[in-house]
Amino acid sequence: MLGFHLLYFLIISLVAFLVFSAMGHDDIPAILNHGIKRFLVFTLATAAFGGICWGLMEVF
Amino acid sequence: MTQTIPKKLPSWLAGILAWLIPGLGHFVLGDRKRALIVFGTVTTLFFSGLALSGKWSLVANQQMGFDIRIRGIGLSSDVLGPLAAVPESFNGLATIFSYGSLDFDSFGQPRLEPAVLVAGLTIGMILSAMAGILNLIAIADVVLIAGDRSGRLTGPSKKRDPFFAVLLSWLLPGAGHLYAGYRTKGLFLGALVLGTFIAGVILGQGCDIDRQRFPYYFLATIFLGLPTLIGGVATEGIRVDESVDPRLLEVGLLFVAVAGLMNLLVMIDALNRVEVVNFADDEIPVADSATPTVARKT
Repeated sequence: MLGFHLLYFLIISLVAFLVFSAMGHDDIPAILNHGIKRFLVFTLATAAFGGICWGLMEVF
Repeated sequence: MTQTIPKKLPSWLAGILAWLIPGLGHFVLGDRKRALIVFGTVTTLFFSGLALSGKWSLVANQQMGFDIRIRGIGLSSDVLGPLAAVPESFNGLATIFSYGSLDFDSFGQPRLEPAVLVAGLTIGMILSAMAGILNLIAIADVVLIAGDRSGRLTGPSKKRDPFFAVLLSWLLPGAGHLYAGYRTKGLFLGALVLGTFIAGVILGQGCDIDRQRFPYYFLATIFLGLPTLIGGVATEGIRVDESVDPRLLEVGLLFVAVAGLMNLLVMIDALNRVEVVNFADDEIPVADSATPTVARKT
């Protein structure tokens, strides 16, 4: 269930980052490049934040 | 070409006039052709939507709890009733008067007429919602025109029209970019947004464009004009029952709502692109106006 929601969350995030990138860039390679880069950074940051929160909950 | 002195009006006043009566802001500013188009389109959509849905459009959100939430924050629904009929409330006077013409029973519940057709309820609700969003775009246009009046002259112009670009984007994602000359970007954005929308409809098993059942999601989805109308009509009659997987429906709703909100960004970007192109046209004069005036990137 968690994996199911995570998958669709990631798809929506990717779409959003591609649309945002298209507003700042003019050609498709640049849009894809920046969009996917931003998406990866965002995903990693979210995962790190989630990991920290989970770790804190476990400790306290 | 004779140039007339453009009429001026404070932006806020132009916006209020356009909110009260569709096209009135444009009319006062001297753009009578556009005023007539806006008035005719918005009014026709609004009243045909109300007629088809038996005025259910006006109370769709109250029926689904919006009214209760308003009461929850201490506001009287009697005062805010017509304004709670979003997105019709972007068409001010018509919504207020139509709401005022509703017949209420002793419990404060509106007595509504049955929808004209079986499919009329869905189609009517989408049409009147489209009227509200269309008037919202027209209000934004008239506010921008009034604010920018010092640099704008009435009369024929070869420039691309930002209002038209936004309208095109609303009707079909990416069309505004194509109009502005950004072909590849328009196709990319169109495919992305429409793809998300279609994926949402498939995941939701055709149940997710339902204004009565999912009014809040619908508010986001209506930023996709024609796809919502076509999707709503095509999936009319499909109801949520045991055969529908609620998890998939939930995700499908999210997808169509995200597609609608993404299209709002696409509309804003189309407006910005057209203004950039127009600005570039002002800066770089060219001899042959029939050819593209600026070497644009796609």
